[in-house]
Amino acid sequence: MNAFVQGMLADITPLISKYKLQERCLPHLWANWSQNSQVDGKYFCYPLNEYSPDVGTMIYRKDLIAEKGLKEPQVGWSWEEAAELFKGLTDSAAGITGAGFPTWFLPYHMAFHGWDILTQPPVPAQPWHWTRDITSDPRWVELADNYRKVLHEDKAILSDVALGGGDEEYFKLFHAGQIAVGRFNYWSMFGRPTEPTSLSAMADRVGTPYPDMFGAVSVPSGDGYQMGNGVMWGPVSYSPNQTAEQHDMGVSLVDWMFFDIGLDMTKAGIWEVAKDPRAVFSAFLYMTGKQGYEGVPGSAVDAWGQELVDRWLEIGKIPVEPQRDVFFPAEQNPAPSNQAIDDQFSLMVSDPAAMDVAAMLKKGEDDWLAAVAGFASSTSEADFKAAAQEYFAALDDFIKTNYSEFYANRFKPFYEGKVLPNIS
Amino acid sequence: MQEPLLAGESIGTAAPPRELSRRSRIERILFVLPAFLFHLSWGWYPVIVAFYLSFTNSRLMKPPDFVGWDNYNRLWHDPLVAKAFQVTFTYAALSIVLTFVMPILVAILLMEMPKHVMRWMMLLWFLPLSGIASTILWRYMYNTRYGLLQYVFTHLGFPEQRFLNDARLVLFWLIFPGILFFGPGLIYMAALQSIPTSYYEAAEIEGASFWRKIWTISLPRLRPIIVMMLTFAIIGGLQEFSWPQIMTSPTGEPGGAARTVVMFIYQPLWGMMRLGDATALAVMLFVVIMVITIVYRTIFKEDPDV
Repeated sequence: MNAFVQGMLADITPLISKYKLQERCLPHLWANWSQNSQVDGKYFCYPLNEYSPDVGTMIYRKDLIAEKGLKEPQVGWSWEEAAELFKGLTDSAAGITGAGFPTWFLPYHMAFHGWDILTQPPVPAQPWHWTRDITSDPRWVELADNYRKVLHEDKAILSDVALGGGDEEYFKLFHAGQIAVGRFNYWSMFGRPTEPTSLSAMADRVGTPYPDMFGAVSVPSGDGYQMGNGVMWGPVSYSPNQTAEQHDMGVSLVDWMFFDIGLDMTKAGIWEVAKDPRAVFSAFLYMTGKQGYEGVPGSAVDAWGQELVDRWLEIGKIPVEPQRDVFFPAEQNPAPSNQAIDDQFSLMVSDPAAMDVAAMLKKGEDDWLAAVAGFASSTSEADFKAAAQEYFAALDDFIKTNYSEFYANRFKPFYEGKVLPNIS
Repeated sequence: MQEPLLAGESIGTAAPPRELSRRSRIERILFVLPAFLFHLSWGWYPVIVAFYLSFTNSRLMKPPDFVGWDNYNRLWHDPLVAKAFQVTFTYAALSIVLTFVMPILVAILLMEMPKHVMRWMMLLWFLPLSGIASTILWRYMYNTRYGLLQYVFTHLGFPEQRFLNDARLVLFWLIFPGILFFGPGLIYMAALQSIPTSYYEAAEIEGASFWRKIWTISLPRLRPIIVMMLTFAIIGGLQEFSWPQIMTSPTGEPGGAARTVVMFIYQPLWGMMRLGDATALAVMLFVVIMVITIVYRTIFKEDPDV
């Protein structure tokens, strides 16, 4: 979105049709990609076929769970089940902490309880058409307190500013066996299997078959809701300074490399050098659903086991909720950040001392509201209202269909109490 | 070659200025021109453009639109901007108090040692280390579970420390490694070596103690260097970015307690492509630093005889 607003991307919508992208992709993945890749109804990038259900996945030590007689997590598990698992896996004598997450995991955890939807009511009449309402709902305080208890009292989660804001350091701890669960993606799990820093190397070192050692699961859901923001891909975009013919050539090359015979050639080349199915199938999630390649024996199941492959395919099928950016005109003016609120979450995670979480959330909200007074949207009130009606109607339908418990207890009161009065 | 005296000149009087030949003038201009152009294009031009862009909704590939004081107004009302300035001033002050004085003391004390000891101590203390590599190493050392410092603290009987996770002390822990780096001491040592030994001999004859000699001879002669280095330390402290950025993740955790103004310019402003706001904040920081530097240089002059 930012790159588009900055004028850095070319509109390649005609090429999406020309290369029949929709027809070649699995329907649920096409729906996912097309939702996340449009701005103002136009496409500004071409996918590279490979995807990862990146938003909301965890990797865990299956062998440790079995060793301790704990219940293995399933897709759609709750935060309560996760907390029990983390506590059960923590073994201070052995130097193992149940889970390790960066310090920003708390707001992320809140998002899996509907935070991003339920705390941002639309206010078309104001210059900036969104506001934040955190403090009127005590559920957020409860969730933050629960998380802090698992983190600071049970010491079942490791979070440290010194480990940085990325996954890299936590992955090293996971690889060293010092944490048993981490928020990692599919590329962390299967990538570069021949390198000593890979999980494959770890399984080889320990002498346990890979499928018996590692498992994958979605981030725990909350209040009957599973955030489905989509999946990660590495799209290619093109400069607006190029000609249509150059765009066509560029897309044609990418399509040939990643959707067509080029992919088979790449896989065959890897097989020829490595003779290891793990190296070939370090990537096996494709929008086209392609699983086998010419000149390469076997499949991802031979490399990783049926259970793991099925698990990742299952995670990839988590329904994707309607994305805001698809419904609203692209914002041309500067937008406020959520830093003021994130700062309060950061303090909750870093400081084990007793604290008034409600007061901290109030401060975050107040600081955000003070800052947002200086912003004005480029979208008119009328256009915003029209888009909001469409967006929230789609969201209402989606949540009602997929998460009935969350709809009845959480979304419907919000929608009818804080949204409809403002956009009707 | 020394030029002969002209009629009317004598040894001990200043020679009157001579008219430069045209060729000499051109030569001087040509010698200075490359450096001048470089400074103009890479120094002053970006500053002038930044001033202009701070009044626009600057975008990378689209022409900017003039928005007046909107960017400044937005920043003025953002509590996080005020907090970033507070963190920056605290960091700069703490950094100067903790890390500025030490190299001076070390340099003075090193001068009292035998020459061979001085050389070895200089080698050990003034080893050129990569700043970024050191910062990353220190980040590992600050790990609360597996870091070396926690191990040392707990084995010495101290309670577990939160290091970078403590919002009240994070700035101290960021500056702490700097206390051990005595790099600027080399400059002080060079200045101390230029002080004639006869000054110290005369003071000893007068019965001056070691500390008296330091106070009346060493420090006054070091004053020009100290004033200059303090100017750089103030500017550097107020522009600090790399250490807190690497050590405390991109957003200056915990809770923004380590988020300096330059970090705020980088993230969230530049990260959210709020280029006009980022430039406006940079201009604000520039003005603040300029005012502080002018006031400081007005109060503290380099010439010890003034």
